[in-house]
Amino acid sequence: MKDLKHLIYFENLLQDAQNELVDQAKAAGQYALGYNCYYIPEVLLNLPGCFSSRLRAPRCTSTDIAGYYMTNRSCPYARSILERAIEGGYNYLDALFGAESCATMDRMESHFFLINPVKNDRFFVTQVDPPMKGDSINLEYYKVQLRVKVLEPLKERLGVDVSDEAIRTAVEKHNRLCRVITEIGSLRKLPNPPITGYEFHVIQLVSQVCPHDLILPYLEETLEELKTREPEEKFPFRARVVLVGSEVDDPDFTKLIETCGAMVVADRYCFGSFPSREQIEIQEGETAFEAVCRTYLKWNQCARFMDGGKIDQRHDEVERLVKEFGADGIIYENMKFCEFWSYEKVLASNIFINERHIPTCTIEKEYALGAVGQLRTRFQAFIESLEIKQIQGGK
Amino acid sequence: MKLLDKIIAPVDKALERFDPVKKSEKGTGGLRDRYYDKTGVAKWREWRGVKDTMVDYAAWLNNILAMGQMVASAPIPILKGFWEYRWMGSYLGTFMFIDRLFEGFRGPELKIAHMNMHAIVQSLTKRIAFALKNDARFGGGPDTLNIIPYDETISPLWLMGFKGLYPFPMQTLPEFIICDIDQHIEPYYIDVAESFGLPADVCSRCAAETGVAIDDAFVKAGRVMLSTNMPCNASESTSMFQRRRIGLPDFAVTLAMQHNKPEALPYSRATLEAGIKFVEEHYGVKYDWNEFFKYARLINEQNTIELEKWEYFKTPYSALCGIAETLYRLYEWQSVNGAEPHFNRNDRKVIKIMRKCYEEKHQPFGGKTRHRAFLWGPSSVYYCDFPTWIQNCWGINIVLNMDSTMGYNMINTDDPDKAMDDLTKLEEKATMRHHAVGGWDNYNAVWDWAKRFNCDMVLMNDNIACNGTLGFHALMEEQARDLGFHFIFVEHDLQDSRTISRQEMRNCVNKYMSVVLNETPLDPTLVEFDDADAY
Repeated sequence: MKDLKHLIYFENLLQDAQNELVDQAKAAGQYALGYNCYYIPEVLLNLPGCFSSRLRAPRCTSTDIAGYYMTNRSCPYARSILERAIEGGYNYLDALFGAESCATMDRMESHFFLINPVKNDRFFVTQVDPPMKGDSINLEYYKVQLRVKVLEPLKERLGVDVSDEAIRTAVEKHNRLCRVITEIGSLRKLPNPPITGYEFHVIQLVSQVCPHDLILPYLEETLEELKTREPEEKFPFRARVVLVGSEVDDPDFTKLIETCGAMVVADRYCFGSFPSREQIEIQEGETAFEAVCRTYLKWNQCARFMDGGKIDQRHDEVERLVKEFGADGIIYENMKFCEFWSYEKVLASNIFINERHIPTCTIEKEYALGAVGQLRTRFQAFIESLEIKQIQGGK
Repeated sequence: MKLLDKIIAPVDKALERFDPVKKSEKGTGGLRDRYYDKTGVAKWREWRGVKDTMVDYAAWLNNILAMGQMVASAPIPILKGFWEYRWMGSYLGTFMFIDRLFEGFRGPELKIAHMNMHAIVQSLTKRIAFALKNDARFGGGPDTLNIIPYDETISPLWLMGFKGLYPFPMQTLPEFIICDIDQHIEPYYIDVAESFGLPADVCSRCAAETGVAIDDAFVKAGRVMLSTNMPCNASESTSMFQRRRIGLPDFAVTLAMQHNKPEALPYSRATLEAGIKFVEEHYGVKYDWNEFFKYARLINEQNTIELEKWEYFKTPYSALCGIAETLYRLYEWQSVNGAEPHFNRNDRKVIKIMRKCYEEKHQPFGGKTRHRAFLWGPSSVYYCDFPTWIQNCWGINIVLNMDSTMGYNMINTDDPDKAMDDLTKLEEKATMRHHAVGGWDNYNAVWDWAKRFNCDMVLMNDNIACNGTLGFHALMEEQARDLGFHFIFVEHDLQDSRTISRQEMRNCVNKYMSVVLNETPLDPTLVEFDDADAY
């Protein structure tokens, strides 16, 4: 396929948390609001005068200092973020909206106010207590948390307009971005898609780490380009997989799977588009804020949800993606030391293999892709098994 | 009694050479002398002087009696239990376990320790008999469907308003208490979970629970199960596994993590109320507030006495200390929580002895305590007698531990609305979660606690798989340095003694005491010994 016009530009934007679009927005006087987790609705961080910045630690190769604070036995994603903060990589941030979604995330975010790694006088941190069930009691609690820990600090500390009108405007803009990404992502459903999983991963990531106003024109242009892009003559991969898991923010991981022969057709992980690019529909009689809370709780697929409905939803959603995107199998990933995904990976693979009869491979990884030989071997073996199944007619 | 003391004094003097504590004082031996190497099997019972040896024997007999009553009350189910459940066999180690816990204890501290332990033995034996009698795997019993199985980290008080139903902590028998008794039982269940694919770097306690579920080693009873988000991520995750394997309709009691914030209470309260409704619907039993108030009065009394105990803990004259305090408070609060009146009777007797000891300025362990320590973080379950060892070897008295600070607010006993708020506050501050979740302030509270209890040392239990503790590792050390506390990280793997052995845990202390503080042990036989094969 012909290279996408903006792909190299997008790849460059992913080389640093503080990329050139972030600098542009800051120069225009906008507040940079960091977050780590889907529990913090991105849309609320894109109110007038602000932009959201989902924290990554690209090119992080060592977490020595963060290892001192959190030991090297804790989640490498959290450690890498802290390391980058201590290195000064997030000095552009005006606030961090954290979530006690897991103990390590809580500890990592706590260091942002305990050791003050972000050198910005305005900088502050709040942490929501995220709900663990999908019922009405938890929805109410979610609303309270987001009001007290996100909206009120935005208004009181940064003077941001958090009115219903402002949120409606943010929702409209958010939906526009979501429509573009969803349309691009849906191309992966085609038997021979004009986009690779790697390219989509890059596109999805830039939509999360760059100011929306500034990245959207590029994304819209890319969508138009993709509509007429000629795919390879023959589908160049040997299999199609759904990638499921936690914080996968390195497109090279997707590339690794694809170089082994399987296209990643759907991305159901923390930095993926499932969930994150669902449009927010404001129903009659509800405020824009209520619609945001309801939508985010509905689509949240976090492995920490404990009620039966949400647990089943996690698995049903993955199965839906397998069917809609014509996947042959699933790869479950978990970050080393991540308890939620360690358990979820084991439970889900058992369910998919034995009950839903969908081939599933589980792997554990570090945050930074280092020695990939073992992972490559696992993927190759899995893809080979998928191929054999195809040859044997799915038996 | 004084006359009796005079009569036995010469006998005690004559037999002093058999007393390991006296031997260590004279440098002729110590507490470890009486053991076969590695096994933890003693060649003879500890000689503590005539009176204390009799107290010890009487307690031993008392515990035998309780166990005998258990077997007599349900002989066939108990036998079937031994056949069906691997963990049942480990309860045979109970006597060795109790002996180990109270080594070196003398006088009132020994008496109180045995009183507390006997209360636990009585409760546990009744609970085992009741559970096995009604276990559906053995055909069930009259109360099989009246049992409410709940996650053991929920306190049962809020379920006591269901007259005729029996809250039952699912994990306590096959996993939590039994690991205290036998360090070799949980690795089996951990291996079961890991064979199923669970990574080895998750909390071993929750891995063990998962293994118990996969191995179908939970007692089978009840119409529903109540899981919870207490106290940590791994606990939440294993609940999801257990719910699926057990297959009963479940309700997740998810209380606020940031429980010190004002917005937490309405949420947690609504969750508990929904839980009550859930049980009502499935069991067809209406919640009875008068029944609840009956038990709330008992927990209020327990907590009132506990708060009085704390006043004595702050002084050098507390006859209740170390593991006798830790284990009892944990069991009484978390597992009983007002549900068994004999704990109140025991508390009343214990506090009387404590008052007397305080008046007489009795110093426990012959006044040999050198440091007063606050124990923080999740304790190693496979090394339950660690507080006993650390006192006997280095003279470090563990005055109180994190789990003993669980909810101690009083519950209103006449107004359901107010009672519900109080109950919610109590539940939110259950085992571990009082300090391990909810952010920095809760965790960092250790220094205030240590100061309040006049401690000069903080022992930080460093469960190598506990993300909550690991995340604040360096900051804790920096805080200790800034605030002037002696501070030791004691590494352990909670329920898997294969990863970090008891001796390796002891070495964390040995190194600090000898290298940093330059102190010599009270009992040199306890510094280095191998008990890897012991129960």
